[in-house]
Order: sequence, then structure tokens, then C-alpha cells
Amino acid sequence: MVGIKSYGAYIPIYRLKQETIGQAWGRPPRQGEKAVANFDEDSLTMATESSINCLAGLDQARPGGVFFASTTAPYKEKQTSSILAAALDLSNPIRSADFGGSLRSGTIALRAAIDAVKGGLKNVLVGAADSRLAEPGGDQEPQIGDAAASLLIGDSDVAVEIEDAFTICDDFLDTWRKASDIYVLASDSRFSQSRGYMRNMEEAVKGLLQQTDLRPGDFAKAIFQSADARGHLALAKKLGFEASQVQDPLVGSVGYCGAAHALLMLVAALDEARPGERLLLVNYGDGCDAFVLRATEKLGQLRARRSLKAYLGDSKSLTPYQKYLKFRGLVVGEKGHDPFSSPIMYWREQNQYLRLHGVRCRSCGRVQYPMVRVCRGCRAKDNFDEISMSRKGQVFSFEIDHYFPTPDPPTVMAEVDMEGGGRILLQMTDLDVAKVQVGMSVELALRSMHHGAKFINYYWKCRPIRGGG
Amino acid sequence: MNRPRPKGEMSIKDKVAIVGVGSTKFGENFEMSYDDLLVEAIYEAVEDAGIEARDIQAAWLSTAFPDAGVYKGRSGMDLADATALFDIPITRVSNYCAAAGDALRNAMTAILSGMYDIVLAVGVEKLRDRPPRESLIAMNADTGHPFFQKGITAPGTFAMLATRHFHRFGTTKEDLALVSVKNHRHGSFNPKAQYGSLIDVQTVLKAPLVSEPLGVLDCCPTTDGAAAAILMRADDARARKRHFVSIKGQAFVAAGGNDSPFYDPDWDLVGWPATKLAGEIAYQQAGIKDPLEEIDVAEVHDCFTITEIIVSEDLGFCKKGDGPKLVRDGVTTLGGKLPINTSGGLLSCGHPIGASGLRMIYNLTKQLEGKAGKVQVEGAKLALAHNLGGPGAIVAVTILGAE
Repeated sequence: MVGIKSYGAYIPIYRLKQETIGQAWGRPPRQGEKAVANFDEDSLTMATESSINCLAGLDQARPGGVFFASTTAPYKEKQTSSILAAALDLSNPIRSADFGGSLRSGTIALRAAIDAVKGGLKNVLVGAADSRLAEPGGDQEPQIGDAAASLLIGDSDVAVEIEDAFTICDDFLDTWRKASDIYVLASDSRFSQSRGYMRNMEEAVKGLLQQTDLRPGDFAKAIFQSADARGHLALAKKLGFEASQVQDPLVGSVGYCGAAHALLMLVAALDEARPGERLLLVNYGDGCDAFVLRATEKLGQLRARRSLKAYLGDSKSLTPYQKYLKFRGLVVGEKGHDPFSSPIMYWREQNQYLRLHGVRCRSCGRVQYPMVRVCRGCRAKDNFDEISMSRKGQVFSFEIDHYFPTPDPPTVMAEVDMEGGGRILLQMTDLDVAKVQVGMSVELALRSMHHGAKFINYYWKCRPIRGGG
Repeated sequence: MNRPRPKGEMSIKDKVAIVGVGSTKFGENFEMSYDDLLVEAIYEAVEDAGIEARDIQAAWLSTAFPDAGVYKGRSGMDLADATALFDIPITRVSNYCAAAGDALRNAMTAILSGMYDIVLAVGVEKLRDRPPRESLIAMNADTGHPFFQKGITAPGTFAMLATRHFHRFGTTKEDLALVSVKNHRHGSFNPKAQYGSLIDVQTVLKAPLVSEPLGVLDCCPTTDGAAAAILMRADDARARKRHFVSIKGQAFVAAGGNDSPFYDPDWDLVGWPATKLAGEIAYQQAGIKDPLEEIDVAEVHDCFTITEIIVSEDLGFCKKGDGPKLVRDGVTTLGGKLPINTSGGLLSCGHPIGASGLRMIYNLTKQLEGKAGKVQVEGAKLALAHNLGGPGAIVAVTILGAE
């Protein structure tokens, strides 16, 4: 049966406290916090993180398809899933597809992945991420968070069977952004809650239960995507689910993460689920997708991977509020900085940038990054094996640069000795500058370095290992 | 890593003479253009040599970063234009901060070849028509490889070694500060230095941070300036019965690229193989066995405080890790056994990139001719100039002797 072979989440390290937002705008403080992307993160980099997490230790199950879902794809014109495939160092043949537009696109991609696997494609990775922008000081701002979640869909050795699914489509104006809008716009909230969310969710759940002949009591957990802390509870009650069955929507800790949110909640539920348990997953946005899932014995074997709780427990407060504005590029007047780059060079040398390939000399065994033609050890010419560099290493030395232009000074640069050989000079990110030291372990994270030559120059930075590894 | 060692060059000792030197005042020379700087330095050197500018038969122009400055120095044409030195071969030398040391080497080999009798090596950099953030920092942020070294600035390059030196040998920020204090004191005697004031350790330690562990007083400033030298065959110089100094040894080593050293897992980041190798070759040429005992005065590339410490070790003035002790014990201070950077060095003179290597030659020539004024090292006979570039991967070492 088609199901979930593996899963992974990613929550950026920064949290914007509701208190910080309240103080900035002179509003009464609210409880909780939300996750916000670092200045160098976007939906692609976050989906890369959750996908690396999802694929960890699964070398035998390389995906033949990569689906990316987001309403905030980094490019309007240019595919993101193909960047994701390269960052994950996957090789062809690969079917890549982007899903966007709808806040439901995470599960729309999931349904497409299920169909693709049923159609014969071996293993499809679904990566969903969102980093939507709310108007500073506006009603949406406290609610919207940034995160990513990934699933690997296949038809053998699945950790979670996908038993059935039911989908409805509905043209409804709940939230939207026209092509020219920067910030999320929304209808009257009581209108969208009652006539959008409740009506759609109810219809989809009832439809699925009818189709499968299941009852609320058959589910250990009901994962009702929710943009706030109340709507899903009212829904559950109306549909006959107990409060104890309802999955926490994470809105007080991560925020509502758009296209990634339902999958993020699913990951949270799977982190806790036991083999044999049945789960209901319902996602909302321009209609609904509803799924019946059942955990298998394999689920326990995936637990060694980085859990959602590990990400939740490893955070930094983003303060003051102005820093958040700067991270999102909402502070105007700063002199632009225009690094050299070249799409031609980026293409020619893609293997050593996005794929992080190096070479190993066939004559003397020396691992070298960047790739070279003549071995720096034995001087043999063109006698190398191209290899994937490790994405973990140790800081050999570092410096803290206060003048390099960045939205988040200072810039820490580290000489990193990679596991398995080679040394790479990398920017550090997601760090507490005072805690950097020689010998510390770091892992690599794909980030947006700059927009030289007017495209997004993705490359690797390093950071302290998140959530204790 | 085993690197093949150069072997079998002709002996160059005492074959080439520096017969005249010139230098502008280094600093924020807002009143002077690139051309003004060239004219000032060259005409002082010409006068010092007792020749006419039109006697120059070939020239090497060192400007490291035309595009960070005023877009001058992209070619030898800019020297011809500024000084009306038409109809002779002029080559622009580009080798990062070691460009002037390389210009001198090119001029020297031209004399050695026998093809020319009188040649000019001149270095000039006009950086202060722009704020530093728009010249050298912009160079790191906006030009260069899109990813490799992105995030590092020139001080960061050297701060990376400071961190490692601290880690390996327990070197401290106070140790670095002592280099700055010493060189600022030396520079206070030099009317051509950018900085003329004395500083103390606390001032250095409390200065704004640039690239930790380096603060602003661990760093040389952004500077305008030019320096020039006129070269002849030593035999011709002797026949003229005028003052000159002779080249006893000269080595130039490119030990890596601008990016590649940072990607070399064998680099210990507490020394520069290029400095060590260039020093060894130059010592061999000059017949120097014990540099600390034999050399009377040295100008080394103190672009940052840590650089002087590490270079002192690499040049064999002390063993690896003992660089801070050399400073603390006063060995390298005026009056010490081997005074280093009696000019004030890059830290106090400033660092007009393409000029610094020849500014060192200017100061050492004055020392060897007994014309160094308040910083004169009594009886100085043998002097060393060390000029380093990029991440330390290119180095010129020149040994000069009094005649």
C-alpha cells in the first residue's frame, strides 16, 4: 500500500514573541510566539532542511520525484523543486513539480505524489514550506509563522499507510494575495471561519468517513489544520471528536505556516504516534483534502531522526522588532550591495555549489574542495573521483567580521574541517556569536547568500548542530 | 605537503643597486590625485639617484586594485601618462598587497638581464577618493567569487589566523596590542607616516572591533601613497661614486591562490608557507645563517598586528609561537636587537596597497644610508623587507646591504 516512508520537519531558529510584536505596535501583549525565517532563509532553503531531515539514513530510497509546495516560492518564474532536487544531490531521472497558489498545496502535492507512486514512480519526496508576509502591525501578523515539512511517499516499507483520501474544491475568498500584493489579505474573519473553514472541513470529513465507513472513535488522532487556536476545537466538537483526539495546531509556538502547516502538524503527530494507530488528516484552503492514515511497525524505526520537539526546543528570540523588519527587507533606504555572480558560472559549477561535490584524488586519496584539475597533494592531473562532501564538520578557526554588509551583523566566518576530509570556508548562521569556539561541531545548511546577477545565489553556510543533532 | 624547491638560480648577490628612492607622505591625501602621487614619488627618487627622469629606460608600475580606487593603474599607460615617460616599456604589476615587491623583482631581473641600464619600480594606490566601505570592503562584498570567502574582509582573513594562534599558543589580544603600540611609536618619528600619535595598550584593546579578535587599532588604515626606486647594475653605481644600496637577495613566492589556502586542510593557520620559503631562499642568496643575529633592521608586512607576529616567526627571528615574546621583550623595538618596522610599518604609515612594498625599500634604503633620522639604527648594514599579499600566499622578501 502507498504510504509515508519517512517524514521530517524544519522550524527556523528564530522566534518572534507576541510580546515583541505587541510592544512594537502599542497593542496589549498576547501569549506565545511564532517561528520566523532567518534573513538568509526562504521556502526553498526551509524545504531543503526538512527534506534532508526526512531523507536522513534512507540512502536506499532515493526519490524519483520531487514535489515542492508553497505559496511563497522564491521565484515566480523558475521551478523550485528542481533546485530542491539539486540541493538534495538527487540524480536523474527525476520528476519535479511545484504546487502553489493554495494554502492547501501541501496536501495537494501529497495527493499527486500518491497518484504518481500508484502510477509507477518509485518514491516521491513532498517538501512543503511557507514564509508568508503579513502587513507589519496588521491583524495577520501575530498568526503567520514560517516552517517546512517533508514526506517521502512510496509503496514499500512504509511507516504510515495512506488508506484513503477525499477531496473537495471550493472557490472561496478566505485569504489571498493578488500577483502584485506583498502582504496577506483577508476576508471578515467570522465570515471565513463559518462559511469557509467550518463548512469545508465538515463536508470533507463527513465525505471521507462515509467513503471509508469509519467513525470518529476509530482515530487515535485527528489532525485538523487550523490557522488559530480555536477553530479546530469547535470543528472537532461538532463532528463528534473528543478534545483528547485533536492534534495541537502549533499556532502558539510556530504560528500558522501556510502550505506547510498541515504536514507540519502531521509530523508532530507522527513523532508521538504508535504502530497500529489510525490518524485523520484534514487540510483546508480553496476546498479540503482529507486522509485516513495508519501507522505501521516501521514507524518506530524512524524515531532516531530529528524530531519537531528538538526544533521547538532549540530557538532564539528575535528582538528588537526592527531586526525582524530588516530580516524581511522591510527597512528601506539602505544602500544596495551588489555582489558579482553569473548564471553561467552557477550552472557550470552547480555540482560544487548546490550539490556540494568535491573530488578525491585517485592517486593519493586527497579530498579536495572546491574541485580542482590538478591534485594539490600529488599533482596528478584529471585523476579524480567526484564525491559528495560531508555536510558535517568541526570549526578549525573562525573570525567575527563587523564590517561585512549583512542584515544581521556581525558575520562569523569559519574554517570547517569536514567529516571525511576537506576544509571549507563558510559563513556561520543561526548562531549565538558568544558561543562560537574552535573545535565546535557544525552542520551545513543551504541558505540564500545574495542576489548577485539578479538571481538567488543559494550556497551552504554552517551552523551549530540544531536540537542537539 | 611537499613542494618542489626552486634551485639553481644565478647568484644575484650585490649585482643590482638601488640608487635612488622616493616616497610621498602616506595618508588621506585628499589634495593629491593618482598622478600627483606618482610624480611626487618618482621625482624624489630621480633626484635622489642624480639622474633625469628621461634616463629611465623601462618601468614597472604596481597598483594592486585599480577598480577599488580610481580606475587608474590598469596598465602601464597610466604611468606614461602621468610622468610623460613615453616610448619606453612599462608594465603594470598586479599581485595584491605584494605587487610592489614584485615590481621591484621585475625591475631587478631586467637589470640582471643586461638589457637596461636604468629602470624604475614604482608603486601607487589612490584609495581615499572613496570611503573605505566603498573601496576595500566593497571589494570583498561585491567582487570576488560569489561564494568562496563571501563574508570575509581583509582583516577577517588575518583574524582567522589570530584565532588559531590564540588557540595554539595562548597568544592574547594584549600581545597583539603591543605590536600596534610599538609601531605607532616608531611611526610618530616618521613625518611621512599617516599616524603620528602615540597609543597605549588600553586604547588598542578598547578600540571598536573590526574582525574579532582584531580591533581597529590592530588594522592598518586605508591610505593614499606612492613609493619609487631607481635601479642600476651595482658596477655602474659604484663607478658613479654616489650613495646606493645593493640587493643581496630577493625571492618572490606564490604558494597558493587567493581562495585556495582557506580550503587546504593541511594549512595550520599559524604560519604562511610562502613567507617561510621566500625567507629561506633570500637568506641563502644573501648568505644569511642566523637572521636574528645578522639582520640589523627589518620592515615586515604588518597589515594587521597578528601578521607581524606570525611573519617574525616564519622569517626565523624566533621559533613558531614565540612571536609575541619577541615584541614583549623589546627585541623588535627601536634599540632592540632587530628593530622591526622603524618606519611605523603599515599600521602607522598606512597601506596604499600597491605602494607598501616599495615604501619598505624607501625606509630601509634610508636606514642603510644613515639617513633615517630619529629612527636610525646605528651602523645598520643588512636590512630585510617582507611584503605579503592575498591570504598570505604571495610574498616578496628582499635583503638589502649598505655599500
